[in-house]
Amino acid sequence: MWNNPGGFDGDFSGTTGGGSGGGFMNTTAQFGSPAAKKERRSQNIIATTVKCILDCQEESFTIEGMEVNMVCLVGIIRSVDISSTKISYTLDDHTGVIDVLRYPEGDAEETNENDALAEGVYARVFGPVRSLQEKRHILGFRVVQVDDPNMITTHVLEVIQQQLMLKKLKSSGAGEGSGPVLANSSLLSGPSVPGGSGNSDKDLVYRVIVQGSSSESGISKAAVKASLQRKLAADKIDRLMEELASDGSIYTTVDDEHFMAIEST
Amino acid sequence: MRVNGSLLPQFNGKGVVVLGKVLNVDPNGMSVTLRTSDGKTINLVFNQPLMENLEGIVEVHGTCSGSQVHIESYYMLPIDTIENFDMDAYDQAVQLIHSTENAWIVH
Repeated sequence: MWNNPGGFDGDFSGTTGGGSGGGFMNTTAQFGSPAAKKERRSQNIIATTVKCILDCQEESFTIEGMEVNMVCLVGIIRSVDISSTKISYTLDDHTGVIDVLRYPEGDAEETNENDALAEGVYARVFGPVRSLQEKRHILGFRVVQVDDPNMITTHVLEVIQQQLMLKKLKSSGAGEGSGPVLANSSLLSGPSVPGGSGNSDKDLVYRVIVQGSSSESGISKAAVKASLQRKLAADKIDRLMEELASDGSIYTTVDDEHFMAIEST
Repeated sequence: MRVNGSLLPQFNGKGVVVLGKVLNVDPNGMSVTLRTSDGKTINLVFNQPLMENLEGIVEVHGTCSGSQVHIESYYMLPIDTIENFDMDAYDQAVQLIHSTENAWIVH
């Protein structure tokens, strides 16, 4: 049945709004539900280590089975090579060493020497992993010097936390337990809830949202519609969700498309 | 791998990263005493005399040899960041690295 795309949104810095983790959205797109968006590439940034990037055997860089669009690394600049076409850094985060390439910005034809970082400083790098002749490197979309050494501590912790989070997502996705949200199963659950009384359509919608509220950013409107596709029309769901919101039973979370119920499972 | 004073003995012969406060610099510039993030005191040995005056907090990278560390490179924290640096949080992060399998573990 329908996977709950809301489960992954907003957990990682830099996730673009409305773009739920690409792997989850794909199933919705295939079934052509009214709210489905075109299949899109995963848009995420994960803090990780050079070792992780170099060790990954898959063709496109993944961590714990999740395709990673961009990475965040923190390490020491070991070398700087400035040419007119690009600036090439070597970044060492003590788990390995990787090249970081930076190209002229915007309309600039040549690189600006003064922009380059010095050797021996700590830098934070954001960008996608690319391969050139079997060797991986990072496209340094953003390369900035680390001024506060507490960033070192923060990065150590971010890497561990995100890795464990992905591991947890992977294992809960594989099991059937917390994944799908079924309208008929929620009908059988418990006494009447704040969303409405009895088994009205509004109640149905509300219960779907309650189930989706177990994730940090709640459930997206699209996911609610996907879950109830056979029972309720999309515009009816829109109306009911607006009513629930003005009742105060549900509220928006990371953006206007994501909702959470005041009551959680 | 990042270690503190207590963990250092387990990494004999291995590559380590140690962060701590510079206590004393030997006049010959080849050796430094460091207080690690967990309050232990260790000896650092350089293969070339230091070119600059090491002071404040420094992160060193090298190989562990018994109770000493042979230093290949280091990063001295900017002086004005020392006051704000949370050594305790750093030490907890180091302990966390070694408490479970994660991306920082280099076998």
